[in-house]
Amino acid sequence: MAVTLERPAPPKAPPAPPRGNGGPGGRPDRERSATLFVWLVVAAVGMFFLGLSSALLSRMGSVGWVPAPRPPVLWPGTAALLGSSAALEAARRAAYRGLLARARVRMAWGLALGVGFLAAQLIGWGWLTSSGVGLAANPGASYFYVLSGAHLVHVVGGLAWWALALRRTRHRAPAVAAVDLSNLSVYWHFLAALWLWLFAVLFTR
Amino acid sequence: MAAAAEAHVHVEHPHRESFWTRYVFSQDHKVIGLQYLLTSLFMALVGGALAMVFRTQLAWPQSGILKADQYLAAISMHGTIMVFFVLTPALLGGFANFLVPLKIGARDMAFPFVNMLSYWVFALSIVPLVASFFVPGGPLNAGWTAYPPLSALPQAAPGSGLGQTLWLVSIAIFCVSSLLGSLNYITTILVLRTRGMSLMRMPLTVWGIFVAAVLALLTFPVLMAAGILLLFDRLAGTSFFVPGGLVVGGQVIPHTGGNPLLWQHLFWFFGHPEVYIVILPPMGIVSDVIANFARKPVFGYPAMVASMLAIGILSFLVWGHHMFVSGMHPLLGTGFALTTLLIGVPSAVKTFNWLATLWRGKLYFSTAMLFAVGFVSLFVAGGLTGIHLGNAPVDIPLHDTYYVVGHFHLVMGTAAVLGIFAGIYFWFPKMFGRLLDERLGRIHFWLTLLGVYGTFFPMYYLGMAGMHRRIYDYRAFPYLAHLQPVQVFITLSAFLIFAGGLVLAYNMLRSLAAGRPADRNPWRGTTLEWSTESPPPHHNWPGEIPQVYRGPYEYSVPGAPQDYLPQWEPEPAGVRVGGH
Amino acid sequence: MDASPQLPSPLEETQRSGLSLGLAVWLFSLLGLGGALYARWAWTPHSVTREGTSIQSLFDIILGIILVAFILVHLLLGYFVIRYRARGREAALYFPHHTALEVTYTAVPAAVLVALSVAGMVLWSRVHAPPPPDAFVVEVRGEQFGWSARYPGPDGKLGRVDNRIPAPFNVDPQDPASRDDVVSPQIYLVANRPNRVLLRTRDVQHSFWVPAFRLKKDLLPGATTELVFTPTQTGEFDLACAELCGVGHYTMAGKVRVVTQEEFDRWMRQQARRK
Repeated sequence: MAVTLERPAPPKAPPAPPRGNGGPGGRPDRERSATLFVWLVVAAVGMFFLGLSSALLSRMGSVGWVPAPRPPVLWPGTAALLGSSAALEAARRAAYRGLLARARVRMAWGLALGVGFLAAQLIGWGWLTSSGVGLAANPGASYFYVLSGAHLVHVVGGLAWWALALRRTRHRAPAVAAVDLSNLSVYWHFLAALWLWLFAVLFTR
Repeated sequence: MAAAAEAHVHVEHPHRESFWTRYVFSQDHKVIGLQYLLTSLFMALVGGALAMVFRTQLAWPQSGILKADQYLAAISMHGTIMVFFVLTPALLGGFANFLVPLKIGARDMAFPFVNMLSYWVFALSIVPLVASFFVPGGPLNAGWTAYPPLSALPQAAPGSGLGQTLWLVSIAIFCVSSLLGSLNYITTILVLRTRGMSLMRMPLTVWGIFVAAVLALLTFPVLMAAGILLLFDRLAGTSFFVPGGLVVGGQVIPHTGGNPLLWQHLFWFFGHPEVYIVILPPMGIVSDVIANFARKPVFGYPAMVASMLAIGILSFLVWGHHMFVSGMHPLLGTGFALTTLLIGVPSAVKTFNWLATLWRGKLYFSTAMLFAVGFVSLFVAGGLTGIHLGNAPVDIPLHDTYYVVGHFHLVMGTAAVLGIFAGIYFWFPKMFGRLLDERLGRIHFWLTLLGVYGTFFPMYYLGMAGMHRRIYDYRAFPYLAHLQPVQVFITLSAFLIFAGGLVLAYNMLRSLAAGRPADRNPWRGTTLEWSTESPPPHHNWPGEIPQVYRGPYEYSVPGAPQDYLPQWEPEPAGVRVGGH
Repeated sequence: MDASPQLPSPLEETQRSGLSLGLAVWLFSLLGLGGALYARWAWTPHSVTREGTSIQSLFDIILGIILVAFILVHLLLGYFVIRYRARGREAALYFPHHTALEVTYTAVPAAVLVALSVAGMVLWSRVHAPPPPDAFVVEVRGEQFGWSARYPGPDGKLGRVDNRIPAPFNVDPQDPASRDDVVSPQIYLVANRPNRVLLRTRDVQHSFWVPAFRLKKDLLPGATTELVFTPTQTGEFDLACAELCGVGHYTMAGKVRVVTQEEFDRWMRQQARRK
């Protein structure tokens, strides 16, 4: 058998079974279900923020709009969030190539960065309140707290899932872990993109 | 996420289940479906009882059976309960859970644990709602539509105190339950269909549930967003919906900069699709029932599917027809009038298809069929006036009158409800292995048909006469005094509806105990649920899941050995089956 | 898999007559039709505004169309359930589709509905046309739970309002434009010229609904909405609040009085003298 320095081929997805299971639920169905589930969750959460964003945009277009000041800590916080997305993406690719150990390291980094984002948000709120800009201080503040708070709730859920997924990679085949990470990254990248939108628009005059 | 789906692997060895995991926190879609259905029927009695009381007040205002704020609380809770706690859970909850896996050939939903959660979160949402009856100020006074500032300011009405907050909390929890349910229905239908069950071979009940679930997935989150913003206005001093300069009850209101129209937009963006959420599954049910009892395929199956999809898509584009006189920009009214009238086209197509299905059928008048035929009549009676209400200028004299109340009760409160009743009589034997009594069923039917026609059709006349709605006592309006006998007639008819409901309740209890036994396919139906035992065993089929060989409505196929070709039976020799 | 039925089907026992159902459907539809015609001709208020009359005409056209559709559907429904009851061994017709029929009954309703929609949009634009500059102006205020009116007086301008000011109608007495404003519980409108009714609320939503005008408009907190129309007849007409506004919503009845220009001018001079 020839020794090769090439990277091992990525694990192939199992051949698609005839439609339907006709018996005890097989893995392909569970995988497809889990992936669809995540996309549907993204659709629902997206609609939730669409509702809030349309409220925000209509308020911004009306008389008396005052944006909240942007807490400086949100800049490194946003960088951390983007970094966590990048780390998750790198982890996902490693898992697809069967390199589980590498994936776990990257996941751990990403999780830490995600927690960093969470901390930055909380610090940012603290900064804002201590500057006297509370929830009801002005329209911008109200929308900032509600939108960033709603976003943060979803981030916390994502971090919990992340921690669980990280733990589960210990006893899983790379192919399964890859799909798991794929699903998590759909959700997480969506939250990151959502934050970019909010970060850009919330503080505009 | 995959862990949740793994938790309920369908293995053949029997598992030891406690009372709690088997009947209370069951992950079996059939148990969960029945939990939803029975809870919604119970809530229907509560919502109906509220109606009996406020109808009494309306017919005999001198009775003073309710005070003004109690009247507003009663109608607000009636609307809330009927829409959120009866129609939606009975359909996207009860029938959806029980039927979808059986009808598409799956062992259970894609996520049984999430399914169990969806029911218990729904049950939880009832707690704050009921609690609002017992707090100072009572339940909300602002109608099920809860427009701010009336709903945002405790000074504006007694029910705008703690009762309004509890309502918002209840609705927010309900939104979560609905989301969990929709995730399951959509995933299950897309991923877990059995071999041969293509999308265009699915029964229309499943299609109706599918489109409704997609609507629910995408619109309940917007209601949640609106509710959260209103809670913040009420509890945290924000001004999302409350403008400045208001003086309520002698008090200067400190809010500033909010827009009450924003609530209306967000609420109705959800609210209009919601009414299609509660009519699409009954449309599907009625199609299944009529085909079965006419021994005839549903006419125009592809058009039936296309029209459900069209209704689903258009339902996102019509919400402003609730706001024609709200003070929103007139150009918006122009746009919404066009989209609203367009949505009448697929509804018309469906009606004609039902008629064409009945034409030259072999009609068996079981109770389920009676209710299905009643549905067609009432859907038309209610839907046609949508053409008046959706036409923006014509809506001006009709908005906020009994014309609207008649319209939405006929489509939602009667047509959708009759669809649910048809479904109950049709699938009760599958659920419990016993048939409902047909004689009692006929009594229920006639009480209901007479009752709903007598209650809601005259409301059109009241609306044409200019009688506005949500009024506690019409004696302040002498020009409406001549209509009081109509109010009495309506109330008496409403009592008939309630009596019919009691007959159904009695029938269900009696039949559960001692009803006539049903075999696996009492109605000689073609869809997959009729291939298994009544009630189905755990995991739905004792052996392999059947494979599907044809479409869902192959009745009276020329040359076939019997007047129905079930989806699960292989081709009989020498028969050419048309269609998909 | 053997999924054949084991018991006799109750289906056979439901081979009943559809006569009572069919007759009931016909009866209900006839009663419905009769009632609708009666309600239209005996109970519907006669319109006393130009816009209201156009609205009522479009309503009538649509009413005719939907009553025809209503009767047609119920005629067929009743006939089918009577005629096609299950009888012995007669089979149903296997008839899953018919393209020409389906296209027809998709296209015809679509055409009718589009036509009605266009008619509606045209009328809607007319009803919301900007008021002419010489329109008669009155500001109506609704609050929990009553109505009042303010007239701009000879200067043609309405003074500033701030709900915190403890003056009648909360008018700012410092604003020069408010000096000749006349505040009154009586709402006057002038016949045979465009009237511009400005609508304002002090607290929650209300709605200005005069059945005889066939017109209504919501009062929106934080904004001024308006209704522009031409009354064609003098007289006193009932006013009601048509948007749930609290516990006293059912008491918000009122009257509007449509008078001639001379009568209104006389009344304004009386009010000015009283000031």
